[in-house]
Amino acid sequence: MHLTALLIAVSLAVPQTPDTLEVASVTAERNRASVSAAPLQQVSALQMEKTGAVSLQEALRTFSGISIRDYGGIGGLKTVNIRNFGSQHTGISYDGVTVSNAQNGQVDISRFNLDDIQSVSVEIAGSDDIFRSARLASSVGVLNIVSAKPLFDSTGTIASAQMRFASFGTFNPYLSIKQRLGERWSAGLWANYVNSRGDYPFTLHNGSVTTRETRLNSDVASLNTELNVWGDLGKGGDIRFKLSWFDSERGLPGSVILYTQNPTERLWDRDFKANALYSVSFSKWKLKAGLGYVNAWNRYTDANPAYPEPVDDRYRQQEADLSLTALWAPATGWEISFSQDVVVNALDASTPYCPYPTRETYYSALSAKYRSDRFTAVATLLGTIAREQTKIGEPAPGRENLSPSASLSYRLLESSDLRVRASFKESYRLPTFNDLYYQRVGNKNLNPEKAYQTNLGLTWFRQWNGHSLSATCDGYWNNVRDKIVAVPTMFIWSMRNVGKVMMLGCDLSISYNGKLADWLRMRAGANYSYQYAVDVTDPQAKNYRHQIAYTPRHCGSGTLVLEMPWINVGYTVNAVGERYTLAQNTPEYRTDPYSDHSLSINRTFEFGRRHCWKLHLAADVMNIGNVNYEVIKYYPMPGRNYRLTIKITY
Amino acid sequence: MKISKFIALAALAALTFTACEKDTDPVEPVIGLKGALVLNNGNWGANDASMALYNPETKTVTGGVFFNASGRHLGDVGQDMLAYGEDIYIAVNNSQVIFITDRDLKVRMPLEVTKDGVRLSPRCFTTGGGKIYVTFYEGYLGEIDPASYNVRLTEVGPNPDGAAYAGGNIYVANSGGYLAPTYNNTVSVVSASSFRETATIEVNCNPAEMVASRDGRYVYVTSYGDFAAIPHKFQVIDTRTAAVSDLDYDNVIKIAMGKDDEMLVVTGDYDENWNVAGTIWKHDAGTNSSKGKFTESVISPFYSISADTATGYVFVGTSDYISNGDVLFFDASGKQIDKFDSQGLNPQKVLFFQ
Repeated sequence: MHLTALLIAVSLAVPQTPDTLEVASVTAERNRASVSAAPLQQVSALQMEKTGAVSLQEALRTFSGISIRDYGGIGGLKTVNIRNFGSQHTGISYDGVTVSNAQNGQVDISRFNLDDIQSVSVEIAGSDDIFRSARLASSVGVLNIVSAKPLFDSTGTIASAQMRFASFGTFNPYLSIKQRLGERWSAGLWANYVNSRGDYPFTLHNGSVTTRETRLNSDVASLNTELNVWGDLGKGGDIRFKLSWFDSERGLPGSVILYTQNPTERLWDRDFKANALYSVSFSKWKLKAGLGYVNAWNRYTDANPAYPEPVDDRYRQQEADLSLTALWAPATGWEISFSQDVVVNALDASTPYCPYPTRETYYSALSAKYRSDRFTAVATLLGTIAREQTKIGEPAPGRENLSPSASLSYRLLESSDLRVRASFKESYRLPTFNDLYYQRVGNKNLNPEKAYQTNLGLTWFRQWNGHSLSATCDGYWNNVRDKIVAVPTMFIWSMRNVGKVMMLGCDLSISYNGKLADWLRMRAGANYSYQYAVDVTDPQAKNYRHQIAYTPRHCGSGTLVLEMPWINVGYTVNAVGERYTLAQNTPEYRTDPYSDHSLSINRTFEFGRRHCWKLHLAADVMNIGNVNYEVIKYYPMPGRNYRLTIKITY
Repeated sequence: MKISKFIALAALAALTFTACEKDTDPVEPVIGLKGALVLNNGNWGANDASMALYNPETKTVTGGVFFNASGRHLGDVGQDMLAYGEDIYIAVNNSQVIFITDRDLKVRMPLEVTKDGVRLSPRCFTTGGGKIYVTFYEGYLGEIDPASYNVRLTEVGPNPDGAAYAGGNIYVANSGGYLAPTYNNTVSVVSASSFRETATIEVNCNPAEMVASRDGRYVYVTSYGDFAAIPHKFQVIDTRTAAVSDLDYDNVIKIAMGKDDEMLVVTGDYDENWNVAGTIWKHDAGTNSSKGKFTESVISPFYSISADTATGYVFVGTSDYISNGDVLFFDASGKQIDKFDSQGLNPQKVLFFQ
């Protein structure tokens, strides 16, 4: 991993990137993916730039087994689902620090800024990386976002300014400056502002009547800033401090309602985060320590005239997080690690009956890994203890959980890079504060929702004369037990552990990268996923063995990037088969398949002495087919839309 | 976004356990419709309210009958339905529209009622004195002239829910559903002649459904309480004295008026799977006296009850909220005749056409 990271960083930072270096970096990535004992996919900043992906949701669309729940528009909630377990089962790591939401378990990935990102990867059902925080081992899979650590040339300054204009009144300036501060220290500051009216047109079909409508109350304004300080203490290790601030106001358009349109909800967010990460290695040991604090505030209003008094609620979540990880390499190929995390979450809300809950969660992970030329084996045992407190009323009882996981990979032939891999992982999600305590709906006696994954796959990788080709095929059998769902009771809903889901699926992917001519390099990839995911809760129920809602049986994606000296062309397609929007798969709730095509043309110019100035220009067209589709029923997605980017880097 | 979802959920919870009863005028002979017409409430925000028609002779059910007849969807949250003369009135709450259809379910007009430029959300119907009354959740009672479809509005309490016509007055349950956790605890008395609120009567917290006896002497009202310290209750208002007294039933969740002034009262309990199990009782509305169980069957997961005042047929809706509901069809004696799929989510209301 470190080699890959270094290579990408070098390839980004050094002007006049030599082809060989890029090939090497891409090769290293593919190699890491095909050697991994559990499914791993990765994309670098350079690839995203050439493909035209400017947001996480655009980057992740071409990953297999990953789906984005997208409520439409720039300000619309976007969450990541791994193999349709539900976004609450997805772990998200940003620069090694877990990003979570104890209140509702959903992290909106549209709030990450990709302009400062070095790579994005997703691991499913296990990880070869055992030198990381224990908390990340608790989820079904991990979305790993890594920001770019600067590699300075002689000037000691890297600065960039970017302006982006897009359809529906969207503009998005971005500024970044990174400065070397002496021998050992450096610092970087960036700010990203997005403002969008979001008033996109869409077509509404209602039986025989088709109307052209405009999405209302879909505006957003947000400012995202981050300060990083890096210290290279030589033998004393590496340290990084991060401070970030996110401030936004947005309309919540809600679902389109037939015959009337008057959305009245708004949301304000102010998130402050501070964290520090220190790592050091000596002889056979590597140590890592992280300390973090998050204060996430939001305000929700609803001016619906049916409210005798308008709704104006405040919520404040705090999280403090301490993580210690030690890795010991006793012999060649062997690594043993232990990681201990302590996380404290607290919620304040102005809503009635908020019990002001606090939760302490202790995660302990013991892992062992063996890697040889042909063989990789990883085993982890994760223990979790959660303790709850409330200022008002009885807290939920404490919870303890032990979950094992194991994965292995074996190269079948001496001569060819064909590997077989297998993994098993037991994971769970703790009930959220809403699940436990939300005004009368919450249920303190909930158990964690359990997920069991078994993955069996083949990977193949080959490179020759500047070309590389790789393919993966993974089949899986997954089960969810004690699924937390809202069920109706006498007068009000209540959260209960009643659901059971069974999934059988496969993810196929193939990718090629190579130089076809002196003037043409091509990168192409395709993915296909099949998933049979059915509700097996109650044999008497009408939805027994019906495909779970919003889960397509078939979906796929494709990417094609042509790099030429005068221009780069990137094309992406994302296709999703029919889905049902209700647990019972009746024809009324069937939703049509769709495909969304995007095209990007871009070029980077280099000029000045030693090519120290770079000018990047990109023009993108999204949803070229102007397809009127919905990811979530009655949350229409924008039709054809455009984007222009100009970026200057020094 | 999640917060709003929870609020929607809570609102849905408040909405779906609500139906309305009316002091029914006699139903005119059916021209196009025959059998049991089912209004499915649907899911909040999903625009999936729908209608089905059950034929008791062939024991078959046809789904999507409104869509097929009118070429459009009903919209979001089908809340109440009323037959009057040759017309059928359908209140679609979150779509803020009342569809007035003929007996073939062809839309005569979509009635969109506004007050000071704000669209109003219709909730429950009642009839009396040759007029149709409808509550609007924004705090109004509407009077619809069935000849001209003209609408008059008068202000009542917060978030009115059920309404009943009794002795020249309309009684409106002011739930204060959007004032949780305090709610409201009043019933507005609106004079039909002046169409103004003339009095308010204090009842238990969070009143919901209302049913009037045929002679107008008693108005029955269910209430949910505040789901915490204040329990739910079943009460009766003596309209001569405006005195309110509690009735001796446990956990009343629904009421409906049947044949011969016989009111059906559903009490709720939980079965072993934590589903709501409904027990149905008979109550003589005119004499305010209990008449025992309507049926020995306990119905779960109970969702709604409707009754036909002409035949005494009773229709009980069941729902798990994630798949099509069922409707259990009983004759006036409490004998189950059939059970059919409601062809939609959350069967809310059934009208019977002979």
